[in-house]
Amino acid sequence: MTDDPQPEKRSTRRALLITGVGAAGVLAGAAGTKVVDARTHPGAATAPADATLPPSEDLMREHGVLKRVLLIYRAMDDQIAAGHRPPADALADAAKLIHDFIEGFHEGLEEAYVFPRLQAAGRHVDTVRTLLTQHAAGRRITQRVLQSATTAKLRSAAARQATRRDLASFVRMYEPHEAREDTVIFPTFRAITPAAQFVRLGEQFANMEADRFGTNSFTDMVTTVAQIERSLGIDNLADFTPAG
Amino acid sequence: MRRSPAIAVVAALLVTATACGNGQNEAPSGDSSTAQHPRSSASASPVIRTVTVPGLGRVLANNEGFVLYMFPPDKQAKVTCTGPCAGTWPPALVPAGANPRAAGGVRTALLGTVAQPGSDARVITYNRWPLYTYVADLKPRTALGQALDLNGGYWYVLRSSGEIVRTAASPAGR
Ligand SMILES: [Fe+2]
Ligand SMILES: [Fe+2]
Repeated sequence: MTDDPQPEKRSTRRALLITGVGAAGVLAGAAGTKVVDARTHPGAATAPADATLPPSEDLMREHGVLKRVLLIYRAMDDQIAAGHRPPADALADAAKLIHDFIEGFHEGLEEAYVFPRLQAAGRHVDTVRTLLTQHAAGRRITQRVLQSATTAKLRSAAARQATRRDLASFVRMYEPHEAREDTVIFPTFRAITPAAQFVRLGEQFANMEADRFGTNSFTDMVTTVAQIERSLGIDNLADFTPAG
Repeated sequence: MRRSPAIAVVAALLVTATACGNGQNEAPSGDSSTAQHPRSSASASPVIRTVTVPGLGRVLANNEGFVLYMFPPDKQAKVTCTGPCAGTWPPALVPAGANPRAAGGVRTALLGTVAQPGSDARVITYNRWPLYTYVADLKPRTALGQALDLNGGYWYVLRSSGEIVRTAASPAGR
């Protein structure tokens, strides 16, 4: 089946909303974006702090956390390839974040609220099947990585090589996985979901995340990822800029 | 378009996932999200039977041959997997007032139902364990969720005797 992405015509409108250029009282519509009302936020340049994210944006920023863990996994893969032993604590922390938040929550949201809508609409059905298969494969890999993430186990060269294979295959699978969701699945989810439902789903996602992980869950997760990056020496963004 | 059983199972869970969780997250009645899924209403008289899964032997399954799992945190008392968890593990539902039927060695005496949070439907139980499918089991007679640690505990298949199977499935069963 051919993917039929429907690019969102959102950037311009979103810019209007956030800069307050749009008329006061403009409806959020399908975007579900909380409107910056020029009457209550005169000269507002940013959305209010309590703005509820549209569900697609919520899922995409969670992909940002996943992406940073993939970078961590790649760094550990490189360490093992160079004959070093990756720090067990950092590996366990990274895999636990994937296990609890990405696999136990983010993917659950996709499986409960996103994929069924596409399947019912007959959109990207084959792609969704592949994404489900990849969720299952990723969960098996994470279970193995968590079991291997101890100092004692990582002393074994054979165990390190097995972990390296798991990390590499996880990265290889999830890079295209999340890219496909961001560019094909979520835009379609948005396009086929009635505007009022879309707004309500954003609120539900936020409530469920707060119930499960606390009100500052996203910030806490980013902090955790940043700490792991620091422990591996990959936290300086400027280091990724090519020289010259 | 022909709907595969797996797609129908996934479609059916949308309502469940939307309807469960705390009150804040419930879909208002009449929400159009519930209208587009022909399989969203629980089968009037679902049949529980057994199938053979490589490496696991004969285990409980729904009438379409999809393996059924139990979740230890339910403690043979209630459905604890709701919200996003129910997206991953769609409960085996039956309409209120209806009863599941046994086939192929499944014991009628061990079948029952328990309340589905936020819904009028009931969840089928076996030996008082609420039963769930795994959304990533795209084919019957596979058990990709067997002995998987997810959503706060391990997930296991059951035998018709009520025994919990804790061994991992062989690659052929995954
Ligand atoms: Fe996904
Ligand atoms: Fe995702």
